[in-house]
Amino acid sequence: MIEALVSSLLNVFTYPTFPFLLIGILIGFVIGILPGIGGLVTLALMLPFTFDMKPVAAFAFLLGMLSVTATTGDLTSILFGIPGESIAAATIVDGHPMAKKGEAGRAMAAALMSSLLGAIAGAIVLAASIPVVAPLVLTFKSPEFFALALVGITFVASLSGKSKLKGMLSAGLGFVLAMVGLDPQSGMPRYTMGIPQLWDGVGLVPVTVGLFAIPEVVDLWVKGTSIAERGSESLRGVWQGVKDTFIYWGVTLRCSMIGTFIGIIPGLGAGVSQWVAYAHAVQSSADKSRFGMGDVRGVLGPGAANNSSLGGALIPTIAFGVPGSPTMAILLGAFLIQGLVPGPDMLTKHLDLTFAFVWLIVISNLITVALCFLFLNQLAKITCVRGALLIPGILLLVLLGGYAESNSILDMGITLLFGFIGLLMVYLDWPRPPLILGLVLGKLVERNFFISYQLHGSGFLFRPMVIVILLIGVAALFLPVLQAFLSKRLGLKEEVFVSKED
Amino acid sequence: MSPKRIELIVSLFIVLVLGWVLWEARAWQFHSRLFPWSVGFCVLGLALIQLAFSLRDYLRFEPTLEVGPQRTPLSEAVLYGQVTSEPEVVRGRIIVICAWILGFYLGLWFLGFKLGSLILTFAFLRFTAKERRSVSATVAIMSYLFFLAVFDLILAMPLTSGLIAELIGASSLESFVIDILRWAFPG
Amino acid sequence: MMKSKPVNPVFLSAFILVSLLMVWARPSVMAAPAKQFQRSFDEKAVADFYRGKTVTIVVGFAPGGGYDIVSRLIAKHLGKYIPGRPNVIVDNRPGGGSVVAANLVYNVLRKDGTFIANFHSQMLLQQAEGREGIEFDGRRFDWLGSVSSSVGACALRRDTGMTHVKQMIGPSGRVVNMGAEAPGSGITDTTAIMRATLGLKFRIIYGYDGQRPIANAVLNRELDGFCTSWESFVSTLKSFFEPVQLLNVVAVLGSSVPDHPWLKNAVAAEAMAPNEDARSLLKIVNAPRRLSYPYVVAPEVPNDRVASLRDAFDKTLADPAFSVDLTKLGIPLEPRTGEEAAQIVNEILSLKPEAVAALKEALKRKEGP
Repeated sequence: MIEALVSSLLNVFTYPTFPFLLIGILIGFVIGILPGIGGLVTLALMLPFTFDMKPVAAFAFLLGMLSVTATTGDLTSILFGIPGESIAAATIVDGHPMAKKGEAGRAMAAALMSSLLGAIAGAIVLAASIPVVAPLVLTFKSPEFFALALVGITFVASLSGKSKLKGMLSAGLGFVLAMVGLDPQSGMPRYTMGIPQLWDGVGLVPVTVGLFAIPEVVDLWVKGTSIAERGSESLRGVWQGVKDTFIYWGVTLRCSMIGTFIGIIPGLGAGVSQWVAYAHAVQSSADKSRFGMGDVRGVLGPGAANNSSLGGALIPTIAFGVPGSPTMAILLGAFLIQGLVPGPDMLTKHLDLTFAFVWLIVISNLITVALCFLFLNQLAKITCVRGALLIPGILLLVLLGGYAESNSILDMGITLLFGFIGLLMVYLDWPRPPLILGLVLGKLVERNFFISYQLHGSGFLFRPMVIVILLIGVAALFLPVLQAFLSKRLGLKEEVFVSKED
Repeated sequence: MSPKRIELIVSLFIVLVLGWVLWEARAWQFHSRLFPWSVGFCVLGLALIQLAFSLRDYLRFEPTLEVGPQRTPLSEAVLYGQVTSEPEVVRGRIIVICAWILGFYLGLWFLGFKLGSLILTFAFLRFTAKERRSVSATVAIMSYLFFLAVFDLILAMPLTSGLIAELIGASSLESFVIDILRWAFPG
Repeated sequence: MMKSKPVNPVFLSAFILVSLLMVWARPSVMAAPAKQFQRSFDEKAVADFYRGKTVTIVVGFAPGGGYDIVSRLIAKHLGKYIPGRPNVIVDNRPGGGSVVAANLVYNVLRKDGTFIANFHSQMLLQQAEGREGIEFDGRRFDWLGSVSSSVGACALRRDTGMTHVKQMIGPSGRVVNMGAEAPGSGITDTTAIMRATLGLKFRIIYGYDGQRPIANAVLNRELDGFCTSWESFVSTLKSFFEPVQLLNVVAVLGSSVPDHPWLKNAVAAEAMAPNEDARSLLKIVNAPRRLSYPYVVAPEVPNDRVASLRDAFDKTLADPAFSVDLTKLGIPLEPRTGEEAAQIVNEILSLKPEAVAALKEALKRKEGP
């Protein structure tokens, strides 16, 4: 096995694998920055080109692209408040305020380093878990998904800032929004007002882009300054961001694990793990007051999670040939085109190829991060440009982001609508992340509820794993209360219950 | 319009929307209706509580229930290098930018991405941001070239050419203009 | 001796001409008014039109899916067979299971021959059932043809011990949990029609979000089996059969079982159907699969250009380079010309109201067997 590990590493640096890796990284870099045009679409567009490539080169190309888009998506989230990838939306919440405080360099460096560590963690788990992954993946069935999605909504509490009522209302409205579309049970259109484009529901990308990015555009114009209101700090900030990743190593590591674990479970992916990671970063801190206003931990968490999810998601795809997300489905298409059959063969006959994937992820992330660091200062300087000059470009990217997912003017209109809703929410201090979470998880909750009920009747709630998950959710919900209670009663310092680095 | 009044209106609006959501589902069969009603009624309950709170705050002129962050968003502007919180200035700017955002949407819808971005960028920079003509034109042309290069040439993913082009039956407004010029000046 | 009258040449020619005319214009056997399938075209005029232009294939699905990749393959080769050699690109307009794309090409986009629609043929069945939101008429589209053909197939996990359909029929038959999406999808309709016509004890679990999650659920033993197209089993779901066979295919939605090692114990549903009505229901539900990856243009496109597009389409599908690429995707090349496609469409859309009612009754949401 060690020889396979080493030989696959050397294989990556051969021709034509390495050049294709670089091309993939370049394409992914540009595309990752464009909102709405995500890794998924690019992967799909580039897939036909791989017909004539050899396996390692083809995957070097595709995986190179995929690894990069998650990283560069974080950069536009930080600089402009526009999610370059829907999986980078959580990075906006603290990343963009950091840019506005003039700490863009620090935020981007933190995002890059945590992305790198997250990707490496995911790759290590991928390599190490190959023998044991089967029982893990097979444990999660519809009842467990239902419980997971429900528990996900308890994280609303952490994302609500100071107003729990508004947070819950926001999540509830997101949940109701998730009901728009064809009913999964009967195929009947619900709340679609006769528009077939709405049969698949309200798009997550247009809503996310509009909700977060348009208020930033308004803010930029109203402020009348550049994005960084009082100028940007220099190279020191970048170095500080790198150090932050290691100072807060607990957050980074735990969120990497969260991302990998959630990525492994088919049906959940980086879209969910980024928010779970963010919520965890908040919950595990003693001092929560700076979150939402530029706390670097709010960047480290999602940054680590959205990259580690890739390694995690590859596990069931390679091991069983059953992809856990649309992106993985496309990668599976690539497998077929190359004549590979995912499954036990990938772990025996083609083990060197599987290890090559691991190395490809690690190396493409290393190269991307290195490239980004070279340009980081220049990128950070964008935050010092006159806001007015940037506004048309940002606005165009925002509207493009809404349009491009389905080439639909209606989606662009949804972006606009939610842009104004987001503006109201910012003005009235209503938290926005719960709405997104409600939208994402609402569909999962409903689907899995009915499937579980059809299969097991109401007994599905008493399955052991379901009970475990629900208990964890209850614990997470009441932990802060418990902490406060115990510390008052027992006279213990609150810090005992939270991580040392705070 | 104070934040408190706006919040009251919004809270009321949410209650009405939820009412519609519940009403729409009244005649559906059980499976289609279960979640909209169970989630809908719970959220309606929360919305009614929220409405009550915002009504109380509005009538009592007391500060809102939860304390917001230190600097309320959209409350400060920089005018001629000075920070100001004058509501007219701030409100004026909010209205202007919202009008432009709507304008960009309509412009892209009717003119397509390439031409729309060119015209809208130039108009915004020149007339509202009061930038120099050369700067406005440069940025506008850059955005045109961006859309041309990335979507038409590299990705071969055509973006819309706009509603007007569709209605007149041209593949794009630029080609339409070129066709007219060719017809007017043959050879 | 009888004097033979010479035949009047004018009369003779007229007679021959009229006969030929009658043969050519004979009333069609089809129920719907026959569409003229002009095949000849003025090559120069068509070339003049298409030169320098772009032909767009409007695909009703997002990039990366089977429909998208096939369309991109076609786009790669089609241009060189259209007179004037236009540029051919793909425009993805997902939504409504591809209804959006079909509606667009039928109603909104230019009807000059530069827009081709590629939507899911399942939508034709939905039109037959009178589903709202469908703003096109499959019969009026000008059909260029389709790429592949398949049959529905139902498979169960090997470890359920189900190897033959008769284990699931009758009073001693075992109930099995079959995964499905919402009614209206190919997977769900195939499962439902098998149950309705053959009396199989399928307990249909509705609500899965696509073939992928259903396959996942079968893999982790939540479900016992599912029905989808045979083509999927041999391509995207191949890992369920190789290297270890995890599924038994027990039934095929057709009149005969294809010759394949994985189909040893499968039965042909139409052969097992109890009566003619059941057989026709099975035929109708499978009909869309016979038109996999269909391509159409709007009705108002000038006949010349339609003819040239049909010609180009046929040539593309016959191009060896195209079929090599298609095999890599695991999709069998079973092309149908525009005429053949239109005939199948007519079968689907000329159902009598009683047949439509029977169809809707068989396909509606019903959990238990």
